[in-house]
Parts: sequence; structure tokens; C-alpha cells
Amino acid sequence: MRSQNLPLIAFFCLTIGLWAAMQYQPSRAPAMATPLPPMPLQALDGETRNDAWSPDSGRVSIVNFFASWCTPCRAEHPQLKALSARKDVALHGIAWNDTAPHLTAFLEKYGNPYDSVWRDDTGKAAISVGLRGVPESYVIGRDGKIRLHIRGAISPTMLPELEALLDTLQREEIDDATAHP
Amino acid sequence: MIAELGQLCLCTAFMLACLQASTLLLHRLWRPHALLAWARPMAVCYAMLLTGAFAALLVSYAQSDFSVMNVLLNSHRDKPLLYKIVGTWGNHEGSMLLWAWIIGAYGFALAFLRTSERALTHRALAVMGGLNAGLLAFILLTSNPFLRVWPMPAEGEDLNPLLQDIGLAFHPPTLYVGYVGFAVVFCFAIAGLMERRIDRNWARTVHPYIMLPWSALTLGIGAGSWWAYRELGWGGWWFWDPVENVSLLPWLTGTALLHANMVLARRGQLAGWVVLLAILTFSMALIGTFIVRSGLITSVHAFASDPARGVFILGYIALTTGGALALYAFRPLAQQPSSPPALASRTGLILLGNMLLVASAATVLLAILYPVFSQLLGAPEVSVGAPYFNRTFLPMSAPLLVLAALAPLLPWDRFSVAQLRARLRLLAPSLGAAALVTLAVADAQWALMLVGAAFSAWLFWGTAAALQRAMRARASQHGWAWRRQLAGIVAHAALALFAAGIAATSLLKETYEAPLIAGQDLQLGAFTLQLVKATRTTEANYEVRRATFRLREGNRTLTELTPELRYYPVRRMQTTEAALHSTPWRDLYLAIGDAPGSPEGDAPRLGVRLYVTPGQQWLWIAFILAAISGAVVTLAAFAQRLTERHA
Repeated sequence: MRSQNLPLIAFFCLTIGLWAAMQYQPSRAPAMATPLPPMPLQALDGETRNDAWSPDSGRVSIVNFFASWCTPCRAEHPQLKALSARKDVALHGIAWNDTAPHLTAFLEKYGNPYDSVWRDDTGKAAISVGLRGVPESYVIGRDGKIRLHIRGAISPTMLPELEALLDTLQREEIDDATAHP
Repeated sequence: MIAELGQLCLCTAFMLACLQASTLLLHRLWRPHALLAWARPMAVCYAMLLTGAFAALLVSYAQSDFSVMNVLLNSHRDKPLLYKIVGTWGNHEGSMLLWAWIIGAYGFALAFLRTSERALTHRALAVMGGLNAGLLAFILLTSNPFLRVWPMPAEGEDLNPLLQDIGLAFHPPTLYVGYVGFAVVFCFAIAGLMERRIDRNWARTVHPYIMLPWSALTLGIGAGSWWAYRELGWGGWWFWDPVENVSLLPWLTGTALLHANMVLARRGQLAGWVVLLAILTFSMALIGTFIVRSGLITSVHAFASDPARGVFILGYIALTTGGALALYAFRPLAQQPSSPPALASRTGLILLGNMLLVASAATVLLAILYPVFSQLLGAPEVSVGAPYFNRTFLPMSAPLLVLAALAPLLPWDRFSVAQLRARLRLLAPSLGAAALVTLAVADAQWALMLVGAAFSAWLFWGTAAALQRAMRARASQHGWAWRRQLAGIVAHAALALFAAGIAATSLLKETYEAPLIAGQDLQLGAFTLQLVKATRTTEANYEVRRATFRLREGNRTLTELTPELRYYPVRRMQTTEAALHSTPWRDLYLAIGDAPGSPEGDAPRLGVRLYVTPGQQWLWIAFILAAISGAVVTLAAFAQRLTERHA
């Protein structure tokens, strides 16, 4: 094989690979209406560890993957703060690919909307949910099952719809309770 | 009406670009001699039409014409005019139009600034017509910025204060001037392959079109980092984010290209390698665009992604890069008369540096694509972050500093061991000292940083020596040739400053934090903070708390700093405006905010945070110096061409 052909062959393989990746993306994201897989996480202070963290059942919750270095996460922040004003929803933040000092500074600077903040230092949590990038959010019903998966930032225009969904999720549980006393 | 005019300009430009490209084919079929020269006036018209289209979009933004979908989604009546205009390229459609306009401007420059290589330039312009036709087809079919909405909504949808930053005004355009600019040398590479002639004249013709994009890309990356430092604020300026990495790819291969092209221009060597690098550099810019706009990877710079766009861009890459590489494979250049370069020569060292640069680029590309492909192959997914780059990229780039110091001091054709030893003499003690200190402190990070500092010191010495030589030879040189040489030395000095800055900021950075207690001075390390004044006022759309501190180091009063804490009630958004005190040696960065660990709801306590980062300014100075030296080389090349024509 002549050496001049090598770049062409390498490029050909790369293009086929990229095309295949676009066509066939076996998402590792957990399916709708299934629970989030338990994730190994570290608390912000670095002392508490939880090897199989999952949001408390019985409460509607939002699990938000973010990072202090991520610009869309900053754009998303006001929406998260708006959501955190709701006392009936638990908002959990999981920081991906981040460090404790940066995180502390981030939360100090923009305010902390989260009920609990966790660090995914090993990247294992990100892998277990097939995280594509930050921010990504999961809305989880009272039954602990995923009801909505948002890739990218929660925009101000999405907020009313999201609030409506959270209201529905709250009511759903009440309906269930009346149906099965 | 204005949007329709823009649309008309785009459609006409598309047809013109098709014609421009077809001159190549017609020339091949019938060989009428004058035909290729038509590419020149066509390139000028194309540039004008695109200026019209871009102006139409700008006016639509400035007038807040919400019947245009693109304006509706990305603007708001209440935005200041400056940010309305800047918003034009803050979205996918607008930024693609900016791309097309910049490439048109390059075509215009190419058509106007004539070179001695007429036929080659015309052919390159025709190839550029092909690139433009594909780009405009992409814009018209998948990302048309002039689509209308009916009925016209009263108000636009976006008023995000975060995007209203002056950084956004010039970070994307400079970056695009860099990305897109590498298209010119790509077109020349194809034209040269068609003529089977890549020689010293070819290299001289394209050199300014390598230096200008390189310079702009350097500035664009620097502007992005500066924005991140200023806005994100906790001392970081590079996060190994996929999109940052994407901008690094063409910079690395482009740096390799500009050095290899110097060898080609002077020695007539490395022709095949230069062509390959020219193709590779523009392809990296395209692959970067693909990765960002296809939604294959979500990242910091999220654009609304659309799979149809991804397929289109991939097809475009397959045609352009694939076509160019096929030409490279099946239409080899004529056998070169000169012998292959010896390793023990400046050419050899440049080639070695090229290998390192391309290998670093490959490392970065691998990191970007690995998560995508490992998922495709069903392998367990991994997250690729900073530790990977610290282990692969940094060790690979450190030897570059050695080469950058050595190469300018050694002769082009061949050097002896004695010459090399004489140049290396100074490296040994500095590395030895670094090794000793490393053993004493026994810390891996310190070790790496000290080695970096040693290399950097050595590169400073190397550039000083090169400067001394250049001064001695000055009298015998033409004015512009001397300036060009000086620019090269300054660029290497900038690299040394950059390395020193990285070593200083990552090693010596200090962070202090403390809760704020009324009536008490804060003791933070060697610094004393005294609260002078605290105010709480309500501005137009936000409440602001200001605190003025007197900062003392020991008994010496350094400065007064006034950080702010703002609250926007409508958007429920809290931001801090930190106060920055920069000196050439260090940055003092003071911020107030919620003390850590208090969730929303509990009354948050105020805390103070002080960062001391030595060497932070060196990084920005290095970016600017490198960009300026690139611009000087570009100017020198054009000026030399003018004087040659008049002579």
C-alpha cells in the first residue's frame, strides 16, 4: 500500500464511524417510567459517600447534572432557582467532572438552589445514566420512576410546561391514593 | 422586505458559487485559457452578495423584526442595540451566515491582492466556489436565517442577561476568521495538486493565508479563555470542554502547517507533508463544526441540534476532505529534486515539532471522539476529563518548548554534535535544579510545574539568543524581512511566557475564604481585609449590595476593592460582580456571596472569597503577543509582494 493512500483510508474509516454513530446511538439513558439506577456519589464536603444513591421515593424530584465550568448550566440556573421555590419538589444536583473548590465558588456566586449537592468524581454516575453532557435533568415521580428526561438546559420557555408536569405528578399520587385506599 | 432581499442575495450567491466552481470543469473539458480567470470577478460579486445578505440579517436584528423566525427566537425588544447586533451571530443560523460571509471576504482579498501566481490563484478561487456552493446549500436547506413567521408576534423570546456580554461580540467572529481562513490554504492545496505543483512559490503565495487565520484563531481562543476567567471567575480559564478542544485542533495542526510551510518556502522540502497538513487543518475546522452542530456531543456551547444538519455537514466533509485526500492519493506530486531532510538540521527539528503537534492534535481528537465510539462499539463508556489531558497532552507539548528554543539557533541544512551541545548547555543546569527541588518536595504536581518552568526559562534564553543574532544580522536585511524574523522570535517568547504563566497559575494560586463578620477585620493569609463601607441600593431592574474593602498586605495598603452582589427579582437570578486588581505579577480577585453550604431558604450568610493568582496576566499577554506576531508576518508578506511588484 502506498503511503499516500493512508490518509484517505483513515479518513474514510472516520467518516463511516461518525455516520454510524449518528445513525445508531444506543442510548444508555434509562428508559421512561423506570427508576434511575443507583449511583455512587460523594457529598460536596467530600466526607460522606453514598455508593448507591437514588432520590427519596415518595417525593417528586428533579435530578440535575451540572458543572461549575459549564456555561449553559449558568443560563439554566435562574430556572432551577425558580423550581427550588417549590417546596413540594426535591431538587438534587450532581456535579460532573468538577472539583469541590470550584463547586463551592459556583454555588456561592450564583446561589444554591439544590436541596442536596453531590459530586460524581469517578464519572461512574454519569456512565450509569449515559450522560451525554451537562446540563441534563431527570424529573422523577413519587413512585421513583422517570417521567421526563431533558438534555441540555431548562430554558425559561420550558418552565411553565415543566411546572404543569410537576403539578400533574403531585396530583397523580393523590389520585392513586384515592383509587387504592 | 429586507429579509426577502437577504434571501435573494443568498440564492443569487449560491448560483454564482456554482458557476464559479464549474469554471474548473469547463476548463478541464475545453481548456479555454481565459475561462479560469472568470473566477476572480465572480469571487468579488459573491463577496458583495453575501455582504448584502449579512447586512439584511443585521438590520432585521437592529429593527427587532420579529416576523423573521431567527430574530423572534433570539432577540428581544428591550435588549440594548449593541447586544441586538451581537445576537446576530449568537445562534446557529446567524453564525453560519457569518461563516459564509467571512469566507466570501477571504475570496475578495484573494481576488484583489494579486500574486505572481495568477493561474494558481484563479484555480484556488474556483475551488473556493465549490466550497461556497456547498456551504450555501447547507444554509438555504437546513439553516435559513430568513424564514418568516406569520402572524408577527409582538415580542421576541430571548432576554438572557448572560449572553449580553461584550465577550460575545468578538470571541466568535475572531474564532471564525481563524477557522474559515484555513479554507484558503485548503483551496490552494487542491489547486496545487491539480497542477501537480507544490513548490517554493506556492508556499510563498499561501503563507499570509496561513498566518492570518492562525493569528485570528490564537486571539479567538485567548478571548474565549479570558471571558471564562472573568465571568466564571474562580481562576480557571481552560476546562478541556469538548468545544474548547475542538478549537484547539485546527490551532495545533495550523501551527504545524505554518512551520512546515516555512521549510517549503525556504528549502523546497516537505511539499507532500505541507499539502496533507493544509487539508487536515481545514478538515479539523469542519469536523469541529460537525461535532458542535450535529448534537453528537452536548457541551458547554450547546446549539440547538438537528440530526439533518449533522448528516449534511458530514456529507460536506466527505466530499471536501474525502475529495482532497483522494486527489492527494491518486495524483501524487512530481518527484522532488531535493534530498529528504536530515534530522540534524533545522528542517529536521521543525519536522519533529510537527510530529509532536500532530500527535497532540490526535490525542485531543481521540478524547473528543472516544465517548462516541466506545458507545457505538458497546464498550463500557468512560468520561474523558482533565486527568487524561494532564497525562497525555502536557508531556507531549513540553518537548515542543525545547524544540522552539533550539530550532531558530541551528542552521537550516545540517548541524554538528558540537553545535547542539553548545546550545544544550544551559538546559542541563536548569533541569538539574528543577530535579533537585522536586526530590526535596517530592510532589508530582510540583515536579511537573518545575520542569515546565525550567523549559520556559530555557526558551526565554533561546529567544534572547535568537534576538541577539537577529540584531547582528539586521543591517543586511530588508525592512520587512527583519520585522518578520522579529515576529517569529516574539511568538516563541510568547510561548515561553505562556508556559511560565501556566506553571505559575496552577502551582502558586492561593484561595482564601471566610464568613463576613461585622466590625471585624479579616485576616486571609498575608492579607488583611478591612470593611470600609457597605451599601444596599435598588437599581432599575436589580437590587445590589456593595461592599468596599481596603486590602492590606502586611502594613502596606494595596488597593480598595468593591465587589457587588446583584439580585434580579424578575428572573430570580443572583450574580456577583467580583472586583479584580491586576498587576503584572499577580491578580487579586475578591468576591462576596452566600457562604458555602447554605441551601436556598435558610437565611444565607455572607462570605468573602479571595484568590491570588500569580502570572495570570502573562497568559493574556502571551495570547496577544502571538496574535500580533502572526499579523506582522501577514503584513510583511503582503508588503513584500507590493514592493516586489513596484521594483
